Amino acid sequence: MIWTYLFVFVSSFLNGVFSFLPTVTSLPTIFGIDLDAQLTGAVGVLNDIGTYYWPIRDLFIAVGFFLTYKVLMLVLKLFLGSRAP
Amino acid sequence: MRKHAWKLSVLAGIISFALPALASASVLFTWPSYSGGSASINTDGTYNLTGVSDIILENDQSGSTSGGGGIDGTFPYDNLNNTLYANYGATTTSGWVCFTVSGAGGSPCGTDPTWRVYWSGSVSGYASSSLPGFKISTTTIASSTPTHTEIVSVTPVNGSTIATSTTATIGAIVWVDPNQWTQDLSNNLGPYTLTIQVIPATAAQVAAVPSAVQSLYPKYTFTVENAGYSYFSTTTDASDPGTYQMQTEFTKSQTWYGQIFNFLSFGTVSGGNILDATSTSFNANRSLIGTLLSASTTAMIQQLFASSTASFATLSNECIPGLGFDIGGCFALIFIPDTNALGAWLSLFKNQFLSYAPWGYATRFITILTTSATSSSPVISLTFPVGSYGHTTDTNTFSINMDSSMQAGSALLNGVTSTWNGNTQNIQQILEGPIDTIIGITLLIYIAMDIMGTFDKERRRPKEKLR
Repeated sequence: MIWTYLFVFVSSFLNGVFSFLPTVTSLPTIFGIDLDAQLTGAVGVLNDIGTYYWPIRDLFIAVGFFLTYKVLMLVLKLFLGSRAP
Repeated sequence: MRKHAWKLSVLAGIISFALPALASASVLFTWPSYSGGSASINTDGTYNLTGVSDIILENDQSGSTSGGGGIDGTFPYDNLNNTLYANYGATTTSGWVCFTVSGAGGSPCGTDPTWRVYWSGSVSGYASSSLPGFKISTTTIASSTPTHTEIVSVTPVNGSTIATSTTATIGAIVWVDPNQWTQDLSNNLGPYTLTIQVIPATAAQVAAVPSAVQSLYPKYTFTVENAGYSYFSTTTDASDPGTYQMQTEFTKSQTWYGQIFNFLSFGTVSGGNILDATSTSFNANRSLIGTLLSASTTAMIQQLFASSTASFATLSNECIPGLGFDIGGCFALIFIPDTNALGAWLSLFKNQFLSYAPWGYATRFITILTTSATSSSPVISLTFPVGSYGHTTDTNTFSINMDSSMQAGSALLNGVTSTWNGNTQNIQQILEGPIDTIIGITLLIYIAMDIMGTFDKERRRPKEKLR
């Protein structure tokens, strides 16, 4: 319960402090190219290929996992600077 | 005083929590009323017999459990089940039990004026009476005497649940028919042997344990050296939560031909020396905090987060003395996070904080990458002119439906099968495990190297020459 309250406190604090920032719901359109739609379609095709060829699907999952890790590290670096691992 | 009130409340809660546990491990000794005058009883009442394995009756006051010309009767006491196993006859005096003990000197039911009850084990003590007899609360005495040599009971009882422990108590009560005992001793088939083996059910099915698995776990052996009841106990490792199979075997020595058969590996032929055998099971569960640490979720905590009203009621019951106080549950409620609540918080954190610009673009990018939705692959078409260049307007078009092609290719690939050890498997079933393992290990190594800064030239430590 203490941990939950701590989590809720931290997230509420961060949500409140940065609430002036806009919320991103989709990727931007650059030079007429809707990056969000194109990336969604491309990933959908890769997922489609993955349903037929499982090594591609597993590689894709691994790449997604690694990119998630990189984003988390970027966020950490943004807030912690040189103290980030 | 007011600021210390909560400490007193907690202390009272602990006491109210602990007292029933202490009382459950005690046995009541009382002495029969004596109409001739006031009773002279040294230590009468309820005794905590935790750790006691035997109760010894003797009709002298020598302070010893043997000798002195008195009657020595030893009866096993199962303190876990709070049961005394004793041969006793009818209740001959109002409300008190007359024990039948072998040896000279008479009976507790007789007129011998002084009696002592000793108990031994990891703790010892005695109570004595100058009255002709005594009684032990009949609720603590086995209800009947067996009629043949057998394993009377085992500890833990079949199907029971104990707390995980590296020193879990296991034991068994056996009863030996005095006539059979005498006969077997004269035929050199004694003393008897009791063996207990505890095997985790994860290592074998409860119904049948292969001998190769049996040899991996210790087998505790006890020697039965007297007729009547005998109680044996020891400790074993049951630290992993789960089901344990407990095999208890009661045997007598083998005959000479049985030993020869056994030497020739015809063990099943010479199995006539088994007096009794049981196969029981018990469950080992972690304590409340341990369970919560492993599963990190219980209905109680889920209820706590599901409804503030129910949460407060649950918290009250767990943390306030007098309302089902449980110190473990109270601490667990306070300190251990719930998986569902944690997941809900992470989801909220992702949907709000991580979605703010500019890092929200990275989050959106990852969200798209990790989606499982599929899109139909495009149909690739190629149109080209038919005939001589510059002299024709006819065209022809080739279309490749990637979905159909990949589906056919996948079917062809998975149609290649191989049979090994009676199992027919396709390429995916054979190779998916190893390939996934390679991908997973590569990913972990790559992330580890990234964290250690192997790819960062600025953070890479300069190489030093070995001197």
